[in-house]
Amino acid sequence: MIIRNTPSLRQASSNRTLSRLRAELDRQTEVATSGLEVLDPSDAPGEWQQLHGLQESLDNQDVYLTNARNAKATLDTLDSALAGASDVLVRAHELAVQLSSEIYTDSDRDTAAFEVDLLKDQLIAQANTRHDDRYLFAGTAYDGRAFDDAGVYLGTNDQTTTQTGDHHDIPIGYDGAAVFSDAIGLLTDLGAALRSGPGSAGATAATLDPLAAGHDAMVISRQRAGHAHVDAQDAEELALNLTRNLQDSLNARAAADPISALTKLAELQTAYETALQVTAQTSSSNLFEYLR
Amino acid sequence: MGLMDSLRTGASGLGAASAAIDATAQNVSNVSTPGYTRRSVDQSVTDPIRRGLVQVGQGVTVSAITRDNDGLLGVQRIDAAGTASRSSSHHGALNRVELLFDETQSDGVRSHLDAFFDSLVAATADPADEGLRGAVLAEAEDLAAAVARTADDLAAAQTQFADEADAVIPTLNTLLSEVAALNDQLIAAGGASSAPDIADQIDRRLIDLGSEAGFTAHLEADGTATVLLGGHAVVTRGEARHIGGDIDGLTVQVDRGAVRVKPGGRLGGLADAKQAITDYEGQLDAFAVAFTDSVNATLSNGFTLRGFPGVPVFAFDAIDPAGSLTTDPSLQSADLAFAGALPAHAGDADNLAALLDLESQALVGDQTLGQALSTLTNAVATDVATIASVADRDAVIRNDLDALNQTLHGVDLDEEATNLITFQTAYQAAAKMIQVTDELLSTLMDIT
Repeated sequence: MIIRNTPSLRQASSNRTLSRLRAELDRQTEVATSGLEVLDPSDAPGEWQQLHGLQESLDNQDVYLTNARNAKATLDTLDSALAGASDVLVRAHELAVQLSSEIYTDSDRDTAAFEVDLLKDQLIAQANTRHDDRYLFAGTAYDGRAFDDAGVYLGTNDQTTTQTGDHHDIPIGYDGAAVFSDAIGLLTDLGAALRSGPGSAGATAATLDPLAAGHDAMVISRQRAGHAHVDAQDAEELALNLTRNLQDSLNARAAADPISALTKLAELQTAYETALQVTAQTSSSNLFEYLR
Repeated sequence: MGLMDSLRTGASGLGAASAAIDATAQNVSNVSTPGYTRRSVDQSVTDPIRRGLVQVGQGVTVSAITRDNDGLLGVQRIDAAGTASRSSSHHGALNRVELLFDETQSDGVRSHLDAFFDSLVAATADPADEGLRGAVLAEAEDLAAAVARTADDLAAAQTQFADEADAVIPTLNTLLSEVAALNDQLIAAGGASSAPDIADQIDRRLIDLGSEAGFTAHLEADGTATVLLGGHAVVTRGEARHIGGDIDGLTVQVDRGAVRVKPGGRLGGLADAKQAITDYEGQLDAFAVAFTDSVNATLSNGFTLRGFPGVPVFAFDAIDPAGSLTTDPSLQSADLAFAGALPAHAGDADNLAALLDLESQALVGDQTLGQALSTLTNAVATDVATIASVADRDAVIRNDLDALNQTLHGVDLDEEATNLITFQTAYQAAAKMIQVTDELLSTLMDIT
């Protein structure tokens, strides 16, 4: 049997080789220019799911990072308000200590009572602290004032949170009643004690321990806010770290190594040019050419 | 043996060499003709005659110009062409579909689903914030549009495949009629050995029929081709049956009535791709239904900023859930029911939390919404990768058979050049023989 090597056979073989190399060259060019090793889902079906999962987690970190930063800013404002409230209670306690003495006149007590009224207004103002138009101590009813001018609580008895991680929330709005109502009541009591005429010193002295306890409660509230701030800080750092790690993982899986990508591109270009030359040479090689 | 006999013997050699040169010329001139099968001259010794006690040779006879052919290989090539064309067409069609699930452009359904839930997470920072609520509505619209667009594109791909298939059917009937006509011509010419060009033309059409729709063929003893579709003869000698139908099946009229046959070849590949898309559509519909129902049901449990009961955001037509998925255009951001109870306080995010929980719930069978979409993308990716591998394998088989056919029956220019030199020498020798004989006759005539 004669085994023939026909021009059609050589042509078909050359065309297949050139077509394959051209396709590989085109793909490698895309890899080198895009910097991605996996270009289509079918390039690596299993890997694709993992890549998408990583990308999804990366996108989530963006949102968590934004929420954590917003929470920090909100908690900074909240801390300032609690610090102000704490100062108010310290001043109120100082006045109470001072006016627990019998040496002060009614006029002195009226003046002190007036200052206590101002302190109460100041405390109510702190309780109505806002951040980005939100009342921070109104619970979930943060679109309205937390307390009215008389110190009556208008908000809800719950707190608001923001999501800063998978299954991780941070409180950014407090139940104002739990934080301020007692303190406001203490200032009301102190004002009344100062205005109670004879026996005012004794009545004022009776407010000392509650005021100290109120201050301690405010400090505890501030500590809670401080812990939340630390949580937000941690959440921010976690999101940043995860973003870096996820991006690294994504790059390791999806990104093409530039050196190997360019090396492979150069190899394929050489192979393609060689195939072109071989095709050109072999396609004109036959006995007729030799005899000519 | 007389000089006149020698003259005739030389002339027969001249004729045989001339016929061989003609065959070689035909081979060389058709070296690039697709489907051409090389010709060769069958020559044999002419029966000798007895003159007295000796037998005298009478030269050479050209018994036939044969067409190198192998019926079994021909049938295998038709089958291989059909199989390779089917997987190649299936792969090409699914490749186009895969682009719809390429999430690298962040414009796919999965990306928009993630973005929708991300917008809900962002809203936890301030559930009453108009901007954050607006972003949720915008992502909802984008997600619905992405689902509907993907469903539309899938449907459009199916329509396109069906149109491509419809365009093939007239071509099939033309090819079948041509095979029948060529069968008639072959019979009239006396068979394939007498009409190799016609046999070549039949072979080419059989390959085309196999490639286009998976027809098979049986070569009869008289050289005619019987063309079969799903075991039913559609061309017998000079008679061709009309083929109808569509991408889902070809119909052929037989004695018992019309039968419907699943096509192979390119048509079969398009049908395979269409079926795969139907499966993808089913998965996308299941996602759209589960997503819409769960989100709307959760919203109905909550309250809007203004204290009204929650209303649905998404809507679809049950006939085409994914393709018709949309959002209520009249909805305002304040209408999103994030609050869990009345009075609906601005920061009440209980129902928003319930919406966020949907992301991790098994809502599509035993899968979450994201997992369902991943399964869909994975199915497309796996199908494309699998059929690419099958198409490569089928192409290798087809190419190997084509190469074997070329090796056995193609035109090798080196061989033809060698033959040409041989036949040229034979021709020159026969001519010399005639010349010498002629000179001897002349010498004899001069003596007389």
